[in-house]
Amino acid sequence: MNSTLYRIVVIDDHPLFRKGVVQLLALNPQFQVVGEAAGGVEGVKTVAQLQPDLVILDLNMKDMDGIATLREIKLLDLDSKVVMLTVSDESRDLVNAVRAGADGYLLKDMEPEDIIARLQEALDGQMAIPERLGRALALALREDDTTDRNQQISHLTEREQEILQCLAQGLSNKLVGRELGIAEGTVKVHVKSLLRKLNFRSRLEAAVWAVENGIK
Amino acid sequence: MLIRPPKLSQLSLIARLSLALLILILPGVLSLLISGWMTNLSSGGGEAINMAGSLRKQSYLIAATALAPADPIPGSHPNLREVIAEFERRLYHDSIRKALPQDDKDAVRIRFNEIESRWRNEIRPGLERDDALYASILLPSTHQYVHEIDQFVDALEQAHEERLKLLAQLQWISLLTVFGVFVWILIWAYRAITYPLSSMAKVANLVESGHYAARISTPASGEIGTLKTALNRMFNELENSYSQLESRVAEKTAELEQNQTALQLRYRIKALLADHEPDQAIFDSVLKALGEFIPLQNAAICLTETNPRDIPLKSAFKLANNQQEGIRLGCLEQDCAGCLEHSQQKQGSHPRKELVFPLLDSGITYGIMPLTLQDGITLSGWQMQVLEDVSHNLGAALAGSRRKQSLHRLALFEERSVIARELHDSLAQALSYLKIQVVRLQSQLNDKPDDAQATLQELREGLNAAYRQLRELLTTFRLQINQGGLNAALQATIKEFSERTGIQIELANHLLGIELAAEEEIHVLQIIREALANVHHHAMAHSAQVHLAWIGNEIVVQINDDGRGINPSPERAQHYGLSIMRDRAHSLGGSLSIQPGLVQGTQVMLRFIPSTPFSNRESHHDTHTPSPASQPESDRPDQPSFNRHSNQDHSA
Repeated sequence: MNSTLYRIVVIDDHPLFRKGVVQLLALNPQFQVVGEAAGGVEGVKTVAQLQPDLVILDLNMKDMDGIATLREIKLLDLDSKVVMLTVSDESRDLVNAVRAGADGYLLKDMEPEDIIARLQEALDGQMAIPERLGRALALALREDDTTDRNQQISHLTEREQEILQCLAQGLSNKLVGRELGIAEGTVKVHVKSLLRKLNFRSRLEAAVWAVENGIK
Repeated sequence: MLIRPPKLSQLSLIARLSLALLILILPGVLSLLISGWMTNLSSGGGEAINMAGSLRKQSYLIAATALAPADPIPGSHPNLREVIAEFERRLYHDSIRKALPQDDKDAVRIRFNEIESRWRNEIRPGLERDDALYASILLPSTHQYVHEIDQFVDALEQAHEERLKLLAQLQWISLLTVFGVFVWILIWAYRAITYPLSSMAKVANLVESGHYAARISTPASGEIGTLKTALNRMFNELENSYSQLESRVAEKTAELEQNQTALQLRYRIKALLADHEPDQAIFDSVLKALGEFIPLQNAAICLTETNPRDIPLKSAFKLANNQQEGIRLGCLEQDCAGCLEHSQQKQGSHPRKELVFPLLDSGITYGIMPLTLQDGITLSGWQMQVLEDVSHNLGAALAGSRRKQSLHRLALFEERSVIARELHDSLAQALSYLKIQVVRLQSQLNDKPDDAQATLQELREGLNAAYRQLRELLTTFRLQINQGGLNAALQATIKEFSERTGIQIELANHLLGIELAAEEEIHVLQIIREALANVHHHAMAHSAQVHLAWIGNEIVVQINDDGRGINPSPERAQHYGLSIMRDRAHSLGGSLSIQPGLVQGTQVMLRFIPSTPFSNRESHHDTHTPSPASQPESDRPDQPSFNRHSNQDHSA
């Protein structure tokens, strides 16, 4: 498991910090930074070209902000996970990012070790949100109109419902596969399908929603 | 149908003129007729005289014939018979007979009767007898007879003469009559035509020169009378319409004057409000101007933060009144809501003495303007209109001031958010970068002695602290006070802290109606936030109270908690927040004190004089808030030391 090499692209318009992140990631041999970008436009291009496993994205950037960049990347329809790494701990930014399909939302003032750990979790398919922001996110998402989703949930296949429960428990794809006795690739396909059916932009959003709505 | 002969005065001029002319002609015609008649009479008269005169010659002829001897030549002498016949023919001639009047006593008749009877009874018989005796007396008798005939002729002549005299008299009378009638016509023409006409002309001139009451009083008849009546009627109409016109002009003039007054007032008030931000002095001037135009006993302008109905009693402030004029409103101060309701209840029934005008702008009430009229005065429509306009102007001015303030606020926040972004872009990134470097250093120094590790740990904590402070600063700069004003921001803050910390926080804001400058609001809000953050981090409190009040001319903000109280010399970690609070108080031009609470916990108190225009209020009647200011400052020994402490902090 540890032998997997993750290809990472870092998008941040602050050169010094970008350098620091690259150096930080270098501490972990599992991570391999394959590309850097100093802005959203350049970042999208890089991601499209390199198709990395993980994109680390800043929120406040000059040419194209993080949310817009995130949407562009999601439009590429890659398997790349996108984790926001930002200074802003405002719940509005967090909610916007999650709604735009972010797979994680980390703060730059977190302990660097913590950042590494969370990135790893995100790569496993878990929620990568600092605890103090989790509650704000749940509160914000609760305000969404969920009646549609409650109806839609009956349209999920049995397998998809099982996978949604696993997501709510914060299991990664691999663990879900093991739990349900299916291949990791199959899990991915099911996750994509259920996200589409319930109109979620990320498994993070789906997981938070499932927890909030008592699906376990 | 009875036709009455019209009265003379009712006759037309032409009729009367015709009548006059007729009267003028009539005597002439009469005299002409009489003269004709007279002439006719006299024409016979001359012949009669002639004939009578010839009787004398005939008498002598008879006598001569009778006495003459027989004619020598027959036929050379007149025959006696023929002469007698001739005499008789003449005596009884038509002309004489015609000249004889019928009246027996008339002289002519008597004379004629005498000569006729003498002829018939005496002379003719004597002649016929032809006796000698008679012949002897014939001559004297004839002589005497002729004398009698003479008398007859005289009588005839006299009668004729008298007739001529009568004719002359008649002529005279006729002449005089004509003259009289002429004079009478002249007089009549003057009195009936010229005089009325000239007097009418006089009156017309009078009317022309503006004496519309003048009337024609001259008596007049006929066409002149009609003219007079018509003219008088016309003058009546003229006078009527003129007086109507005059009253209308007076009405219009009064209206114009009113309008001018109203315009002047409006202009003055507009000018007052346009030049400056509305403040106490401006309001005083406005009320003074109002008082000059409208008889007011009291007038005030009370400002409220929102609709006075929504504000609990005693929280609306009365900030401006016309004290210069010695006018003070007799209302319960700070009871604007009651004032407004009071006035509206009375509305409709009878003319009110107290009026309340809301200061409105686009549906938002910024205050009210209660007025008390002088006794016995009721306002007319235009005055009410002016008052309403003025209240609208005031409302608009207040709204404008508030808009300006919120624009200012917006600009301020714009600037602050720019600063926040820049801080984020530079410092936060750099700090994060440093943290990463520390981690790297830590991993590189893995096997090194504990000292180095401890230093690294220290470095890490320092960085974390710096980052936390930076985050606080960012929060501060992102803090916004929007449309809801300070009160809404305070409520949001209280809610936020209550939820985040679990401490029960009460808010008592008695500042409603007081507009603070945007910077002041920010400072007050920040100090409260900082104090609450301290309560959260250090005090271990269960509950806290935030109190804002207007005391005297100061704003007093207190934050009390029931925590463990403050250390007389607070630890360094706390200093940072405290010095920020103190800095803020300093930039407000006020003071900040931190001291143990009365029972337990800590009390943070901020006092400052706001820079807003309404701060020069003189009244000190605020009693509904506990007044910490009443405690003498000198009774707090800890306060000066605290100040010193903060000064040291600054220099450090």
